[in-house]
Amino acid sequence: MKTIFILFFLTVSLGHSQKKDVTKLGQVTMAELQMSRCAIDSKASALVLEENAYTYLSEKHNLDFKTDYYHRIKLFNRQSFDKATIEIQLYDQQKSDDIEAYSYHLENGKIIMTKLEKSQIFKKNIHKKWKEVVFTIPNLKEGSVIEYKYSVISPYPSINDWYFQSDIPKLKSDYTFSYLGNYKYNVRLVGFLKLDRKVTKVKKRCVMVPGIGRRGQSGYLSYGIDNIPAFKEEDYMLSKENFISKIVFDLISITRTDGVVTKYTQTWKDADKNFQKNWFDNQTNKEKFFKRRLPDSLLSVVNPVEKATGIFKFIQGRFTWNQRYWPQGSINLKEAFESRSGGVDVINLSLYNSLQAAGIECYIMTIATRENGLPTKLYPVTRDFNYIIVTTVLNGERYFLDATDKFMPFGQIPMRCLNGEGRVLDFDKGSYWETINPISNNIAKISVQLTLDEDNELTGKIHVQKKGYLASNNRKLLSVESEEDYLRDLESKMTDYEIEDYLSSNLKDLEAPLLESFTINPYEVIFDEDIVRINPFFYYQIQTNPFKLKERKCPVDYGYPRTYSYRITMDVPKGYKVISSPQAKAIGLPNKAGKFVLRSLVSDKKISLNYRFKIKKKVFTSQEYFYLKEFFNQIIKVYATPVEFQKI
Amino acid sequence: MKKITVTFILFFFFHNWNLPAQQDLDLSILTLPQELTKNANAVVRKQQRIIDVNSVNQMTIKNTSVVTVLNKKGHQRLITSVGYDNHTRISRLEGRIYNSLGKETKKYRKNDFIDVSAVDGVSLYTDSRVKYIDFTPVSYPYTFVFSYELKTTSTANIPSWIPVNQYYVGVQENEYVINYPPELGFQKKEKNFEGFPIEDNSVTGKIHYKVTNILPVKYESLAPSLIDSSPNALLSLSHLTTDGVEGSYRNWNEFGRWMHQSLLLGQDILDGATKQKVLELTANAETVAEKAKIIYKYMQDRTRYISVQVGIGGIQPIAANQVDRVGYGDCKGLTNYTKALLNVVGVKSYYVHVEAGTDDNISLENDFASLAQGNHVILNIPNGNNDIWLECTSQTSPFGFLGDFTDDRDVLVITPEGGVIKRTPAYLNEDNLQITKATIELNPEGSLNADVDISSEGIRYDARYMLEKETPLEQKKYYKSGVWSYNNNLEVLSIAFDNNKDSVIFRESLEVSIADYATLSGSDYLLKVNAFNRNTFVPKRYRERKMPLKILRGYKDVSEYNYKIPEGYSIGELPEPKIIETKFGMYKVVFQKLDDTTFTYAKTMLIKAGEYPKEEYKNYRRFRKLIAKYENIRILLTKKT
Repeated sequence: MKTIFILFFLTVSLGHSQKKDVTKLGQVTMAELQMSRCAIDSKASALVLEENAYTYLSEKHNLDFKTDYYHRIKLFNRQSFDKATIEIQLYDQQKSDDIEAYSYHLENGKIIMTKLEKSQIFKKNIHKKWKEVVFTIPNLKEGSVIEYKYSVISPYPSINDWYFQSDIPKLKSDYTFSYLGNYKYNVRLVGFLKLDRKVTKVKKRCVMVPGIGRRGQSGYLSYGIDNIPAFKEEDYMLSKENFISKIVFDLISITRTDGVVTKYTQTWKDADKNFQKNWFDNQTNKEKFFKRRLPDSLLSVVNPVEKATGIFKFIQGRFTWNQRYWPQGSINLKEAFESRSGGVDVINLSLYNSLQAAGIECYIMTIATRENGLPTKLYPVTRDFNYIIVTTVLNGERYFLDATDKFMPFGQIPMRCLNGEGRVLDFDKGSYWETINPISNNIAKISVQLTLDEDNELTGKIHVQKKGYLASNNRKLLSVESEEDYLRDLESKMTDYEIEDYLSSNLKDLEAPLLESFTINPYEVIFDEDIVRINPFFYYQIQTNPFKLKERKCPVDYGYPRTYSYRITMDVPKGYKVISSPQAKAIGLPNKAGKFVLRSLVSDKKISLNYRFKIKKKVFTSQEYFYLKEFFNQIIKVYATPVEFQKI
Repeated sequence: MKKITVTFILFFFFHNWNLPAQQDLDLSILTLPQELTKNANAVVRKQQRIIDVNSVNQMTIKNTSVVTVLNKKGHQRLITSVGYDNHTRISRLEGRIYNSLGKETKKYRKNDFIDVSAVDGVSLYTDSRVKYIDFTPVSYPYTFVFSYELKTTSTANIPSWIPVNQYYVGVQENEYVINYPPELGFQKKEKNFEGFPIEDNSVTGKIHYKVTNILPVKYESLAPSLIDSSPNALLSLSHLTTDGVEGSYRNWNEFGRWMHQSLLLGQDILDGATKQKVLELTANAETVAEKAKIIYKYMQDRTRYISVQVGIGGIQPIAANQVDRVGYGDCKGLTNYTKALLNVVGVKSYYVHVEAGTDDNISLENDFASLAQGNHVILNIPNGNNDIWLECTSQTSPFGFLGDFTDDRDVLVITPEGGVIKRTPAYLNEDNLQITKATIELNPEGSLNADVDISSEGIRYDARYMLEKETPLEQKKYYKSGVWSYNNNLEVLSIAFDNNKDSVIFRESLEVSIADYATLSGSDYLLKVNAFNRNTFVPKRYRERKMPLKILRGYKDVSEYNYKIPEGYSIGELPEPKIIETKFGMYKVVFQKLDDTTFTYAKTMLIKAGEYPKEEYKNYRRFRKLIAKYENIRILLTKKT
């Protein structure tokens, strides 16, 4: 993000008591030291007894923001000793101050208190303007209580999020913010927890400006929660930032004492302008440049979808993505075009300009990636976004485009982008929300033909056809791994079989389905006297349930719908008859969210099993989790059923 | 626990290969020898490292490397960084990128490099730093020319010569020169030179190696490390300086004496109260082992592992009284502290340099002494023929237990009289024993309930005893999604652990249930018998195996299950006993019918550590495949009619 400079031309002094007493060190009680387990979570390795922070404008520091932090934590056992190592991240002109820390423990009923030595506070230059002050609290024992405080002085008006929740439970967590009325913030609470304490006060005429007198107002906001459970991350969930309890302050504007207002985000109109000007560095009108660079053959295409596809491929081929998102600072599309590499911003802005140059109506869409958390919809917060794509409507159908990934066909965006809604930036009519719908034809079609010969050796021919995400994931794998490594991994997923005659096609033709075919070499089948048992479901099957825990809190997020359809055929070996085979079965998830259908056809000569496994819904709530888990259980059960032949 | 102090000057690890700016090489890929590109992700076209030792505390290292990168993997592994610290200055630094035709496309000067703290992931603080560049290649192949010059006052760590230090990299030319004043003395140890076209033009005052055209090596699993078969030379001055401390040694004995005199002596002072305390604690203990055990526990309870690496602190332990005061230290500090405590109670112990790691057991070279060997410190207590070894960075390790991090390798024991090479205790094949006993009851719906008892010894102990400290949720996850993930619907009803630190046995007692365990069809009840210790590992297939087979660690598994079958079913014919015996180990399964409703399953599996010629790989694979098949053995119960 661009650095923000704020200058005060006049000195201002605060007329009312902005100061609030910060918790002083030395609050540790005997009861806390004797506490043997956490009352709100008996298994917790540590418990925050009390923590708070207070942010205010410090007169001593030229009216920069100062935040005083106080923490008191009970460490029940060694697993929590890492909580005694504190890292304070500082950017550029930010400073830390007043670091003080103690550990307390009992020895023969007496309290032993150890102070952190100043020489054990280290300052590291991390990278460029980032620094870190780090220390670890000495002399820890199982059962110790640690207590520490520090302050951070910051000339920047952005306020850090306050996390009520962390990986350990807390008894009491509070955050207080007092500011001058010339700063405007939006405040929002994220997460499942409710506030226990909330104080919001506005005082009028509390600021003394020399020569002008008392004017302006100040605000005082205080929030607190008690008895906070630890936040636990779960598999297959979206970013934890969507669910963890925290309070967020979004800066709207600052009014300088001379009356000049600096707006950050207030309305979407401001935000749109901010995106265009600062974040895109005014590079949204470079059509002319791209028009000259685009091959004439592309520009002369009549069918708009074909034309857009051609341009998309051109940009996708032209640039190599440098793995960076967006914005690094100044953007120069012309230069980037020559150097052929760039971040998401450079590549997708180039795509946008090129499509514009070709007369295709399209828009830049700002989104947040999955690991970044969903952008809030309450009001505009530009810092919630960290990525841009391009969107267009052609022949009545909406397309989302991202030219950074070499494996995405036209209209498919990488998995990282499949995160809720994004903001379509229509610079003329104003921006609007749009749900990022993934493409739906993510399909794998698999045909398996098995033969059991007289020597009880099983051979098979396998054909696989993949589309959508299933294809692009596979293409990516095939492009980085050697074929041998790829096959070895495949073999390790079906231990009994070895792959021969592997062929793949349409590796580079992204619009076409990816095709793979191979044979599995002879494999001796387990015997049980006259009965031969074969598990026909060996290729690409789920063998263990991905959902094993009894319950969960956060939704399961699949990102995109998917369908696997199988066709397994097998000749009945000579001299044998079929005595059992998997039975027809249909398993469904509520609301048609997913289904599994198996059809089985058995004749004297042939067995054929056709089945389809489909996950249609992208997100399953914690209430739906049980169904999902059971759905997989049932399917795995089907997969465990063998075909049995008996000697005639 | 398992933490390595990244002490011994970082940049040597970052860089093993380098050399000077000579643009006489044709950088186009057209001149790249084809045989070097087969199985290669990158080819080192030319690499030159020239080291000028000017005096005992002045050394210049000039590096130039010219690497043609053939694909993305080669790019990911390309080294574009150089480390430095308070004793080392980067006097020149440059990177240039050339396209496949040999045309320069990008140039990075010193100021274009990104400067960061050398974060090792373990240390609270370290004064080592790294400069690096990060770029995105727009096409392959491309060529990267990296050159730099370092001036350092530390001459203790002359980088080893390792022309091949990565898989899938071909080497066209690699040259290495060291000029040193002969009066400083020099030692070297050359390894695996045979079979490689190495030119050695070394004379007194100069080391000079050159090698050309080494083919890329493919990685294979279950193989010895690359360094075991590729040429390398270990190099060291006899008189040297490290972080401002001068040293002089030609062998381990002298090295040990120097370490003791210059870096350890005087670091073991403790204050009176602590002395008093440990004397009281051990007042009733008689033997060395008894006293040591009390001290070890005392140390474990009082400390934790925190690493701070500043200057000489990279090799010198912080003083014992400092550790005593703050209650933390790194491996050096904690070992030295334990040594000091033992000293107070009259137990002699020694500081030990070891090359720690679980991937391979690396010994110190018996006949070549250098500071660069070893990355960890442990403690040795002489005790007749039964030395005691202590891992002082762990607060949970049993007394005298080393585990796979430092076991079975040659280490340097530093005594006041000098250094002595000793071997740490080994955990061999049967020592690594795991016994799984289960009483299993099947019900007519196909579900089972079982009491399972697992006891683990040796390295198996090491792998599991930390489980005790996990949260109940993590413990359940460990069984459900970890070791028993092949059992769907597994529910853990109760868990109890017994960590016997004296005999080093970890016992897990569990009550579990598995719904729908058996497959029911018609009157058949099909059951996979080995529910709780299924080892179906099969080594990957290599169409053409090149490397020898190495099984680093042996182990033994014993499983004994007692099955009670559901009412209304009968036990048919049980499988015959099966014994497979090979040079790699043994596998045995025996079924026994006890009465109409119960039968037992007994399995023994022994895998032996060892090294075998490459031809044996497929035999080992066959052995494991056969085992895998029997691990999945199923039996049939039939409904009584």
